[in-house]
Amino acid sequence: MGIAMIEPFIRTFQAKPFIESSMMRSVVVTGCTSGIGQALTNYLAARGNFVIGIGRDARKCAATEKAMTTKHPAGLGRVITADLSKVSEVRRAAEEIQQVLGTQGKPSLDALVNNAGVFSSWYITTSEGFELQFAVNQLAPFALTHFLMPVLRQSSSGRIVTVSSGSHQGAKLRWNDLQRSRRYSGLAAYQSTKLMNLLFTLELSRRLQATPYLQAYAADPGLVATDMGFKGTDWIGKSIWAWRKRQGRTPEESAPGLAFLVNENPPPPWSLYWLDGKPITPSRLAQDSQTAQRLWKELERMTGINSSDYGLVA
Amino acid sequence: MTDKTVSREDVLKGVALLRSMALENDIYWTTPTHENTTVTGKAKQPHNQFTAKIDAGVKLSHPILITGAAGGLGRSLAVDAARRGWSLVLTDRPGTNLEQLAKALERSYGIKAHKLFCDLTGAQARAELFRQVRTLTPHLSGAVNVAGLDFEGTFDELRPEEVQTIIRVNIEATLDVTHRALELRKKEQRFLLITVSSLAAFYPMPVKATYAASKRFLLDFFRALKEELRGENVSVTVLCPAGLPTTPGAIRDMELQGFWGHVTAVQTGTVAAGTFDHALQGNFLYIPGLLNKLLQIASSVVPPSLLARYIAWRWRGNTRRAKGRKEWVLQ
Repeated sequence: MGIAMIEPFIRTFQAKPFIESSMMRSVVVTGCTSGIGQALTNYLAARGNFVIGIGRDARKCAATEKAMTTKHPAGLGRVITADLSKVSEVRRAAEEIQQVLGTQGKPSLDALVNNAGVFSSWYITTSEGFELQFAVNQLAPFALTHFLMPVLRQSSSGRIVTVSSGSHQGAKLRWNDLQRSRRYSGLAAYQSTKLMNLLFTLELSRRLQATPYLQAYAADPGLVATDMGFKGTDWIGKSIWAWRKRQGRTPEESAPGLAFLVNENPPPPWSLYWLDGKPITPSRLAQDSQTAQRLWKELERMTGINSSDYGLVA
Repeated sequence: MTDKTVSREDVLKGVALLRSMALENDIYWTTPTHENTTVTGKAKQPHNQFTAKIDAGVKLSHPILITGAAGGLGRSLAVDAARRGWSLVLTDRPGTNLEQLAKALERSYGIKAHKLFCDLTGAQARAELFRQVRTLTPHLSGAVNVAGLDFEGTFDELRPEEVQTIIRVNIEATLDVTHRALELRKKEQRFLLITVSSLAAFYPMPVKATYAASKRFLLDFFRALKEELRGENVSVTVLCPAGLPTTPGAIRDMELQGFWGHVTAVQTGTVAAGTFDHALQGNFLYIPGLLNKLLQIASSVVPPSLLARYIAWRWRGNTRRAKGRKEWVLQ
């Protein structure tokens, strides 16, 4: 465990107010209509959390909402349809979330789980000109975290959990081409966005030092058998994914590990990166605070978001 | 003196090792190009043999015009041009999402990106477009003709208006835009004229007859134009890609073509970068992908009548497969 990873934590942990009960904590889960997001949504709803999900497909969203509300003790829950590959849609989703919270009489959002992720073998640009994986896997968490900051600050113990992956190991960033428009490789692009998730979490937690009641974590869901690798993948990728999937566990098995970061008080040793409720060590590059700061500045520039407007001062 | 001899292989190995180390460091630490710092092309990993020389950063003094900029390929070309620090004038049909693209490119790469909406099918609209271009900039440093379209179906199945629209957009509008853009070039300055044709330009294509022939028109036209403009510092480049996986829909179409669809596909980002590299090199023809190049060469020795028959036969096979898949999905 690199010292850079622990350092921002040592001060914040002691001042952290402990979560009394997970009942009726409000949680936003992105990518809630399939895979890990769906399992987590159901898991949280069954334990009394008020979950607001975000999904892309309106039909799947309706189905998820129905399933979730039947699991919730008071029949509560909401799913919002938004295409997170566009920053403008992220903004709209954030506004809708704040409205939903308002109608539920909740001034605060207690946790944001940045779970939505895509894989694509092909270089696809979104209508805003960003590479698809980069837009969904990193730009959207960055933007959504900012747009929801006002309500997250209202929580007595807020959490921002970003789902990274063990595949960040060995990833590198190309600073002159962060979105890998040239010589694109789907897997390398995916790995680098997962590395960015960790760097984002590192810098976010540094910027949250002044507000110890807000905590940022990254989670490794483990190798989970989802259909992610089948969407937008070429035949080589599909066959590799089919082989990997057989070794993976079910999404339901990784849900408790994520819910732990949402609702529990992680015990020492302090870490930003967790797998199944246990702290783990990310790659060396993911612990480099200089790199994290540089990436943050790039993301600010690309999205046009000024972090200090949202109280995330460097 | 030692009697140790160093073989040629050893030297080459050493050079390769040093080079890979330099590449690693450079990729990781190179300052982004948008910061207008000098990026030396020396130690950068080239995506093909052209990049190393060109990425040193050719600056253009005026914006370049991109038609069809909201589509998959147009967007990638716009991103790559912006990455090179070039200012842009983006146009596409009214109702497309140019606003956010232009804004994001301006923020990300520190360039100026104008946006103009124009339905290129009308001569009036094109005249109006260039009137607006003139208010934005006195000169252009390039024009990229991406706008083009096709309708599904055989010639018989298409409505007469649809056939006319293909000709209007692919041929009439492209030539008109080219002419008006060339008027805006500054003499003695470099001008990049790039047109998107298609690999279909090399074959008579049943089921895409009008489209393929219109793309053939562009190929022949610009080959002649290149000679007319020789010595005028205008580089004329025609891009002939196979099907590009630019959107989820395009990827589905590509998958329906099975094996050949996959092996002939090239990453859109690579195509976009390669297009400008070729234009800067002054190359006329750019066919992305080695296999596509080979296909083009191979097809040039086969009689067109045989080619057309073969393509028609393959097309029927694909349609059968597509139908088969649909049924499978419905179950």
